[in-house]
Amino acid sequence: MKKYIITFFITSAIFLSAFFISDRVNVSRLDQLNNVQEKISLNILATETRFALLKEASCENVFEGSALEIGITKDLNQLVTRIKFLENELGSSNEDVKILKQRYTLLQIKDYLLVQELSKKCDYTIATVIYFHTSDCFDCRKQSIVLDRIRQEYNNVRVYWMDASINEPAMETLERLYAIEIYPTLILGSDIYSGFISYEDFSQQLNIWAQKNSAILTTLTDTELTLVNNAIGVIQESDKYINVSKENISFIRVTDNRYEFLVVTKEGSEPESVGLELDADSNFIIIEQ
Amino acid sequence: MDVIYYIFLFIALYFQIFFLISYLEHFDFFNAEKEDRKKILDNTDDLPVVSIIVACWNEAETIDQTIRSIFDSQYPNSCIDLILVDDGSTDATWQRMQKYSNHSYITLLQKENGGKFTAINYGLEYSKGSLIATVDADTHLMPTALGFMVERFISDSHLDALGATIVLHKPTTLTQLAQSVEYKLFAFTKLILAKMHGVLVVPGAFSIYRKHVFEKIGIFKEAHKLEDLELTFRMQEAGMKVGQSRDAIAYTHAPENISSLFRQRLRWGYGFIKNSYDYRHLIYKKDQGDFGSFTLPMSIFSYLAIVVTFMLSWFVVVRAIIRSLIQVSLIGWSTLFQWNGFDFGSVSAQASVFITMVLYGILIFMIFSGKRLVHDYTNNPLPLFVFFILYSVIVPFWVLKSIYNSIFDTNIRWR
Repeated sequence: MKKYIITFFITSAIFLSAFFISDRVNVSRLDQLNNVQEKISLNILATETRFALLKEASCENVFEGSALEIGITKDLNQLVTRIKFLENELGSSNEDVKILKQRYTLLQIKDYLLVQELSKKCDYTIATVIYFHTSDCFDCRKQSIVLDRIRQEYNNVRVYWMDASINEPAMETLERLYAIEIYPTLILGSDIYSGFISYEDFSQQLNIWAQKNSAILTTLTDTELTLVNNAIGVIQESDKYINVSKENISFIRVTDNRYEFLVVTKEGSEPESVGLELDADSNFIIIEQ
Repeated sequence: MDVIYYIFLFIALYFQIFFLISYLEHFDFFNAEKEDRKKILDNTDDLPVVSIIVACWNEAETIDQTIRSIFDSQYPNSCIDLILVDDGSTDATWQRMQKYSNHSYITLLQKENGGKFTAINYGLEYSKGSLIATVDADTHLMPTALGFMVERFISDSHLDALGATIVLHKPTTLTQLAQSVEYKLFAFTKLILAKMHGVLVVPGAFSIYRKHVFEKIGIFKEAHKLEDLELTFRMQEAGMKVGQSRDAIAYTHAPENISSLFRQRLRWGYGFIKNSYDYRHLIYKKDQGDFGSFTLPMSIFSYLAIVVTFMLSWFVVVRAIIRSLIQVSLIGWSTLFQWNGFDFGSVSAQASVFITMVLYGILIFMIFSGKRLVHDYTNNPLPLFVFFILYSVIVPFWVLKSIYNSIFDTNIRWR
């Protein structure tokens, strides 16, 4: 009989330890997410400040290390994956998850406003998609899968996940602003798409929008992106394009080891096509057309 | 649903911890060197005669090895009374037996087919020994096994029945490799149950009973085709002492492929459920000790747990499949098998994950302890791997099927 009781206590102890460890891990994960949010919010604040200071000056200085950089998009994207995962683990009624989501929603709105302002004043456009959804509609789940794919594919398309089940006044204002009635609803720039939109259709809309607004949609990996930046440096160092600024060099495509760019040498003149090839030592060589 | 799952996890963990505590209680016994059997046997003047009954039904292939192994035992042949019963075989079993017809310690019997229990009972009528052994016709003994078993009966006059440790003979197919792991697990758990006087079954493959067992509680019964289990239940009910030998090892042939394994387990499952139902009054009965309060509840619970775990895991699998299908229909195949690198942050940290890890840890510990008990010192991880994969897929099916069969009384086949 004694053995049965001892066994019961040991079993209970293991059970409680398991719950304790689980709780510890989740707390540290929540902390981690809060840190990431802190980092993003600091970055937004820094960009805003710099932007305010340089209001009259050129926009160039604002971009470096700013909220428009792809790294920040990545951070925001990673955050949404983590939050979704924790929501699954702890349940959406968990208080910590609710607070986390609320802060995240606010952060997204701030980021959105900043990006809008930057693009208006500095003529630098990146694609922003506001995605209104609820957690329990079937079409929203489908739409989320599609958008997950989109944000994986396009490094600099920023998707803002607005979960309507959160009671966040700022988000409700945003909803009223766009008169959201059905979920899911997507807002790309100023275009509104109500109801589910498929991957193919949305990619197409995205490309049309990018063309119209002369925004760049990169579908490159981090390493490729670094290479593109290196290639731009090589172009700027070449004799022919020595005085061309970075904004006048736009990346077109990469095929195998060949990188293609369009370069505008003089204001108002026709852009020239420039090709570069990556050799075995990872050096770029400009190929004459 | 989460609550149900955690209740099951708790009970499963409870039983495993109980095993572990019992193991620690008898730690010395498990890790002791082999006892000096020879001393006891040598110092005994008149060794008991052991009547060994081998019931054969179409066993022409393996019967020779069984007979030879019995007479190769390190036990005086003059004290062996081997009774071979041909239970109406349709193959050459009876002809094969004939070459032993002039052997002075062998009795050959033939009868119409009537099932294994009838064959053993028929052999019992002709038995001369004070100890009765049953050996399956596809089983052969290690030379020391018989001596180890008899020694226990000499040194413990209260012992009524003793089961041997059963090991698989040369497992080769994947199905057999998986079973070899399972038998090692059995070796460990059975020994612990024996220490608690809670043996579930003395295996028909090789066991010894005192003759008075049959005089007191009767002979083998049909018992839903699981006569060894039913007899053990009856012995436990009568308060007899049922043991398990640590050192006596017998080798048995295991089903080679999944379908024959499946049929064997259907028979075991059906027999277990039916007999447990017949003897349900023993569960938590006051004077039944650990047999009633641990062995039976644990065995029944493990059946239930398998069913519940199975349903939950299939629920998860089906949901994942549906999700993948939706994903493919929406964005194509490209991302389905995409590997984004290992991310510790996306590993579930729910309490059930840690508890399951503990459960598996204890299970693997038990398997390795069983491995040492049967003197297997190999380090091949393949059997363990196959065991977990194969058993997690097919066990639920034979459990569910045998539950179905027991409820609707579907006839089952012997093989």
